[in-house]
Amino acid sequence: MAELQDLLALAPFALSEADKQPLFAAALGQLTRHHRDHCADYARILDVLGFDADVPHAVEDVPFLPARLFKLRRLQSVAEDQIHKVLTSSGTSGQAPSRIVLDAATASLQSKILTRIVGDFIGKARLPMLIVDGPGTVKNRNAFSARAAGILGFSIFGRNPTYALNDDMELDWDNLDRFLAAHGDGPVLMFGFTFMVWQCFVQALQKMGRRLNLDQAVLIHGGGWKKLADQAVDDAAFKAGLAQVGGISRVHNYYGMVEQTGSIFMQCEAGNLHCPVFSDIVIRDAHLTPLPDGQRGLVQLVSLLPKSYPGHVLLSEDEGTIIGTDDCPCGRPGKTFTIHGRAAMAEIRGCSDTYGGK
Amino acid sequence: MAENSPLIRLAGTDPSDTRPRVPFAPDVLDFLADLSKELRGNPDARHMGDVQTFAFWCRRANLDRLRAAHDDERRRLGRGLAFHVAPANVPINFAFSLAFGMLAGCANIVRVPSVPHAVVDLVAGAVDRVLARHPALAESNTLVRYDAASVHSANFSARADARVLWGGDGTISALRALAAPPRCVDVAFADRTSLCVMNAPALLALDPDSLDHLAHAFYNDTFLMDQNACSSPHLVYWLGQGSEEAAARFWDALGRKAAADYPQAPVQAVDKYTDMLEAVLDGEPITRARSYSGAVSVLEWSGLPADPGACRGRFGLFRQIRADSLEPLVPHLDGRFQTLTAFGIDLGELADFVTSHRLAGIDRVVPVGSALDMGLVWDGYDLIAQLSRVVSVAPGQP
Repeated sequence: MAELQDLLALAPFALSEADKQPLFAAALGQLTRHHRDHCADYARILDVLGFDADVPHAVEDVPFLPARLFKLRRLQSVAEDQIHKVLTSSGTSGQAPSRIVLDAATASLQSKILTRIVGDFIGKARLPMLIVDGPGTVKNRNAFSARAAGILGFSIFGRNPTYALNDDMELDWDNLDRFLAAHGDGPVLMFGFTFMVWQCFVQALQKMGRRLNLDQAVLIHGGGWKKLADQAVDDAAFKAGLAQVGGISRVHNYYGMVEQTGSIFMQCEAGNLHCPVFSDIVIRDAHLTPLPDGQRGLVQLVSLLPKSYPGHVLLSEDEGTIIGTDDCPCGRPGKTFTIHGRAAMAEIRGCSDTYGGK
Repeated sequence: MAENSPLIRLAGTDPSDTRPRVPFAPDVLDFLADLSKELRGNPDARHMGDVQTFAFWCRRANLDRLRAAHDDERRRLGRGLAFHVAPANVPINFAFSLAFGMLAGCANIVRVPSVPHAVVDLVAGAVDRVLARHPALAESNTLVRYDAASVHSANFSARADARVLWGGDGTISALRALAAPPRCVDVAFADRTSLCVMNAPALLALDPDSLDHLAHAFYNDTFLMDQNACSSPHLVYWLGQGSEEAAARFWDALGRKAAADYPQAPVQAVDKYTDMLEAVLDGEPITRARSYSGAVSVLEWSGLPADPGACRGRFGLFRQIRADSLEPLVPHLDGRFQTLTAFGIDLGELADFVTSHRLAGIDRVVPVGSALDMGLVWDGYDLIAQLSRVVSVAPGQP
């Protein structure tokens, strides 16, 4: 697997799109053959779709699986005795959880690549870390959530982790005062879920009329904009709120799927989400045909990380738009894009009444 | 149950006069013909295909034809008060349900879906206006809307001489559990499934225009209701020589039609694709999955699975099988199957196939394109017969 190993060894933004694509397509072919050879269900899907993994294909021609399939089926490309852990993470309450089968190598690759991508945006130093969440979120292992996974995953970038909220999701002033006294005049790392940061930090501080001194903080946040979009809060308003309550000016949103943990997409200083060399993005229309740059459609994510489960090519239910290639003002090469949120539900016709529900 | 949840009356009054009429009573025919005119004259209804279909169905000439077709030379009277629960997702069916009850000679309480819908609102408004011109019928027919969790369904059931219940199996069971008078009859339109049989040589003989016409007809049977209607086919069963080429030509034509006309939402595309992969992983005997213009997905079966009746698609996902005869289907055609649509095969022969094999399933055999056509015989029920009673006289005394 020469191309695959080569790419995974690179810095996240080491290649221009033109240099990356042939390598990436070859690496994707290797990974696709690996899953075909080690996951009978995946092999059957390729067979039924008439896809021959032994000949070269463009990235957008490799069959994608709906990310949702991992909520419905357990798919793995690794023997039972090689399983390191099964990540069961439900993004939304009430939904069946995704079951992601990890072996030790894939789990380790996920954190290695995550470190490299995030490091490109915040530097290598491990900064004092303020987590905008309650300590109970990661303790409740029965309800292992995307939030807990995010907190644990990003904790490797900080030291002296301090929770800014109590378990009622109110500001914990004892913790905050202690953290600010110890680290407030230096660079710190903040992490939280987008709507938690907005609701329990920005809005809570605004209500109290308090302002914290976090001028040197860098905030990483993710988890989706749906709840904020409902309140008509966009990226600019979000950043303005953070500047107001804490002087926080370095803010990086990230995007990714729990089904492809590790290969995340970080928002740069210019506000664009970036595709590193380890992953790719394809936008598809309502007939699942690839769309040109600049057009809005369903987001398909391609990641070279998943080796223990065939989740390397996944169709999400989010909509996004590719903004450009190799032309971001921040200087990082590759594709940049923006996410608009989940695709709207459709009104479905048919005979069955929804008597129980309505 | 919410005792005080509001009841919104969209038309008529709570039936104070539940005395039965004879089927096809003249004042009922006048009312429906009047309603037909009202709807056809409404410019807002012009783009609503389902409203046009209903209005065309209840026009005077068709009512006269229906009356002639249903005259079994018996004295009949409506059962009394019919309580209808209309389906949420086929909005026009509340109007058909009301018309069935009226034509049978019943007084009617029709619950329209609680979710507001442009078609329901438009037709209910027309019913209200036309009832005002027919005061005798306004005293025995009403359209109501209320939350399903409220007590009203129980109250109406307690008064009903007949119940016409549309919905999923769970809905029907919940409604049937409500107490009704001992002689109350239930007509339940529960979940059903349907299939299509195609004659390959007949398809191969079609010129391009006729092929497009057939694809259009099949499109109307399926995509117009997101393939969720009980009478929309999920399986296409090919008979005869050349079925591989015939199937390819047909799906290609359907794909072009659906890609051009079906407003497929991205989420529906994901649903359809996920359903398709689940079918593969479920172990259905699938040899190939094909997509036509991104709008039609077809799973090719090498043989029949254990339970073909459970294999359903949405938004244009079909199974197909190519075979020499219908015989292998016989053990599978249980009571879940409703409609058999056909192309290039004699409909009478297919109906004979159903009866001679003593099948529990298949109530309708219709040409491709007619799957969604509502009629007074539906789901195996003769609705005039079900919703009326026979007044018999001693033999030989007319």
